[in-house]
Amino acid sequence: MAQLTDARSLGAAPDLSEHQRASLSGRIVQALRGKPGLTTGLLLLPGTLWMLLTVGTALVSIVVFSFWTSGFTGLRPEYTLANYQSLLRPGSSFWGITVWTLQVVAMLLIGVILLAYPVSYTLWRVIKSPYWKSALLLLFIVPFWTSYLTRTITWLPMFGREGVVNQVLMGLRITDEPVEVLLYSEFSMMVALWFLFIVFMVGPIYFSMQRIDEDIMSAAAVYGASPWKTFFLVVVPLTLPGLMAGSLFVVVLGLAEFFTERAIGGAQSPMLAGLIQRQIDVFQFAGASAIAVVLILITLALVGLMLRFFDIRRI
Amino acid sequence: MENTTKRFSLSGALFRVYIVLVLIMLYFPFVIMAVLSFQGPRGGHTFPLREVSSWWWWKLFHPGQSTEFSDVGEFLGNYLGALGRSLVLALVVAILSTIMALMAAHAFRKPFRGSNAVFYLWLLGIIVPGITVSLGLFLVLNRLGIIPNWTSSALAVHVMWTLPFCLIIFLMGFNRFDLDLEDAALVYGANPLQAYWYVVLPVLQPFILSSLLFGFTLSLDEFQRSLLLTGTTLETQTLPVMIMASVTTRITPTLYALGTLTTLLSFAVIALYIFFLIRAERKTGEALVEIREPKAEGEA
Repeated sequence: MAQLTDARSLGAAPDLSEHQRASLSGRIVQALRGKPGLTTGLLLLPGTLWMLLTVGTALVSIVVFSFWTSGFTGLRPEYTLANYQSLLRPGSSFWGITVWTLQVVAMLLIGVILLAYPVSYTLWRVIKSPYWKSALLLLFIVPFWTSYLTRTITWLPMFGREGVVNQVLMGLRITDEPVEVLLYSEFSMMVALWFLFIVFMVGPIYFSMQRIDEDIMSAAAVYGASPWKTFFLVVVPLTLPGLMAGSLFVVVLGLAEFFTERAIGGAQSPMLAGLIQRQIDVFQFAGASAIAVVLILITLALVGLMLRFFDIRRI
Repeated sequence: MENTTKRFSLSGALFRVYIVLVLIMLYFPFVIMAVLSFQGPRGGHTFPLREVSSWWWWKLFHPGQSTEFSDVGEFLGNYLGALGRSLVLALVVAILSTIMALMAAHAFRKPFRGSNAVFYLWLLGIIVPGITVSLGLFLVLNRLGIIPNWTSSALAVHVMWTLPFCLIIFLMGFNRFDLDLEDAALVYGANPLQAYWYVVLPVLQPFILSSLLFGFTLSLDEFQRSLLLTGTTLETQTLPVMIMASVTTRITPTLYALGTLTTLLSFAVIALYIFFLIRAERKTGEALVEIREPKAEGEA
């Protein structure tokens, strides 16, 4: 054991052989020995540079362009506050759309948690066989790896006047004519979104449930806590990390969502990202940039708030 | 006593019914899509089925050919060509982001100054809404007079999107295994490269596979970030961007045929991943046993 710590504190391995020293990789190893800072820097460099050039550039430029002027031939570098003024003036549709965006994300988050929590709980507590546990968990994760776009499109035939859901309802004689909210509406969009996003939540909650010590559960039972009490005072607090990880996904991707609204929601009630897309469609790049800045600020604020409650590096 | 067991099993049954219902909601739409892809030539993108035919599948494989059933405003892009581009791109993205994320994850093993700043910069790749990245970079390229293409600008934002996921996967990997093993190998006379190749990489194999899977599947599906960055012609668009364009025109069951095809492809990729994962985990187990045994002897 002493030998082990010794070697680690020196940070050194036995010397390289002549042959290894001569090779290129041997020379690299030799050059980096004893320079941990340089090694760290070199390891981080390619990816960090990549991020700076893409997301870094995008963030800086979008802020700058939001103060430029949209012209017929593209953006003109004439600085103005007009983009923000027309956005933020009272009575602008922007306010309603911002509130609507936050409403959709809140409804999405609440719905997904309510749908996913019992699923994770069942996999954890009700299903006993390890084989079934992993098989079912896999079934809930697989859609995550298929195409989001395709999964959205699969909801197209479900809604509408002759949609599957309305046909089933009429077939069962629950209703005589197609239900209005099941046309391409805001409600249909929410249903599609709930089942599109549930795959982000089941896994994280289940994994944090798995980490709950069995002793804690039996201790709660021994001391006479009712199942409900155990659930709300023991299980829910201990699954907060999983809930937060899943929520982070739902909020971030929910705020960025614009396809489902267009395809399923009837393209009547855009969220902020959808508004940006509509501005791009009509070449209002400066206006689009101003909305983008607001959307980015909202996203960063919500993410910052959530990251206060848990450390994403500890999942 | 009897009463409680009976109540318990009732709630157990309810829970089981519930997850089956949710599973139906997850997978039933796929089935509907597959069924509607065999819609007759005169049918639309919703029920009812007007005859059963392979018409829309035929159209998928023969893009741009107008026939007696062609409609005005029908989308005539070549989906399969776009699929080919997307597959190539996804493969490159998966490999690039896995290598760069693995390198960075090694750096994060030891605390260093500014590690939080670097980590959150990477995380921005997930956090920042995709369409804003697309817009910002599109406008920059426009100013610079660079024409976007799927092999350049789209590749750049795809890797930007997948890198943070791959990094988190590897950070989880390093949390899971203590890599004292590496030190042990060094003590027992391996050089750093040997220690890395024979000890660290085999232990990380499951995570490398997961990283490749995430990189591949996330890239294959990416459209928010690359929306404005794959070029303006149908010949350079990736599949998701082309699908975006087609949905805003007129939806035909060809889209369902395409969706069915790509979903089957996704399932195949996932099956491949699971197969290799099981193999890798068996190997990792063996490797850990092999490495630990001489250590145990040494201590005894």
